[in-house]
Amino acid sequence: MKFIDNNILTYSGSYFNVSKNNGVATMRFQNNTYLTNTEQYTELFLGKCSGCNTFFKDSFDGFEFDTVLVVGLGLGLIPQELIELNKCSKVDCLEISQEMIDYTITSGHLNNDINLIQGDVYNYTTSDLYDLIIIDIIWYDSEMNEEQYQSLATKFTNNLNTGGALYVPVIKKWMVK
Amino acid sequence: MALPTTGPLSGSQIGAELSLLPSNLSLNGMIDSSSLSNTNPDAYSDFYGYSNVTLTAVSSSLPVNKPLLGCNTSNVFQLFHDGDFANPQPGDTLYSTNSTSNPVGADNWPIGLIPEFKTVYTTNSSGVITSGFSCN
Repeated sequence: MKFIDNNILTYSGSYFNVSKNNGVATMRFQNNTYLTNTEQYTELFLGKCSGCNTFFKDSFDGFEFDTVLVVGLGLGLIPQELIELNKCSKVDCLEISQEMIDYTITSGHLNNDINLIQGDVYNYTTSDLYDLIIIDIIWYDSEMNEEQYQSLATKFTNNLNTGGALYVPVIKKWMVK
Repeated sequence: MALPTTGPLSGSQIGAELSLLPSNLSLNGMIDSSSLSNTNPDAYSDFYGYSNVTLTAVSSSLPVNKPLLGCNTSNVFQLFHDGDFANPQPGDTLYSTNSTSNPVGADNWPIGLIPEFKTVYTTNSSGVITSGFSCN
């Protein structure tokens, strides 16, 4: 799924901008990376694309989940789909940028049942438990090395229910507790 | 690198672009050594924007925000690169037309005919490929 583009507010800030390119909402960051409001994003990353790389579909095949922590907000495509289509009972979203959280609240395009939390994934601690933790904070696999992944895996294992999974789609990591 | 499109243009600049010896820089000779059609009368200005690089066409789909998303996209247009091989490599430059005047901007470009064997190339703002993500 994707948002209705008209529901996404355009924005110009210090960390990122949101504009409409041919009517499609695009969030562009200072380093030229960007996110677009497209259905393909969640189709791939939430394992709903039949013709895509089998890692994603296979990872979700038979995996049931109800509570999710999404790390990295962006336009909010993943948390929105989890709450609206997957009908998850709890979707928390950890975002490092307060500016992005403020923008999202002002824009109003995100489902109000999604809990937005400001924090750095490498420092953030919580006692909450989840069935699925999705870490979606990088564009390129070179942006997270094995040591960084292991530190997150070690830390967040304590926040997974038994049978729950830690998932980092860009580096194709799926760890089940 | 393409010759300038405006301003002063010397025989030595054109000769360098055509890899000619400095002693062989007559205007007629340079026209004959280039891919330009013979123009009458010949003029140095014929070489404005000229590049002696041969570009290679490749099939591409629309750029994607994350390389992973480019692996299942449909090809919709051609891009061109200045590399020595059929497929571009890091360090090569991608162009949106068959001219070195039009490098692409910073983005991720899925290239290849078969989804499983596509490579998504990341370019910087000059169109130079900085990395390639293999879909297989």
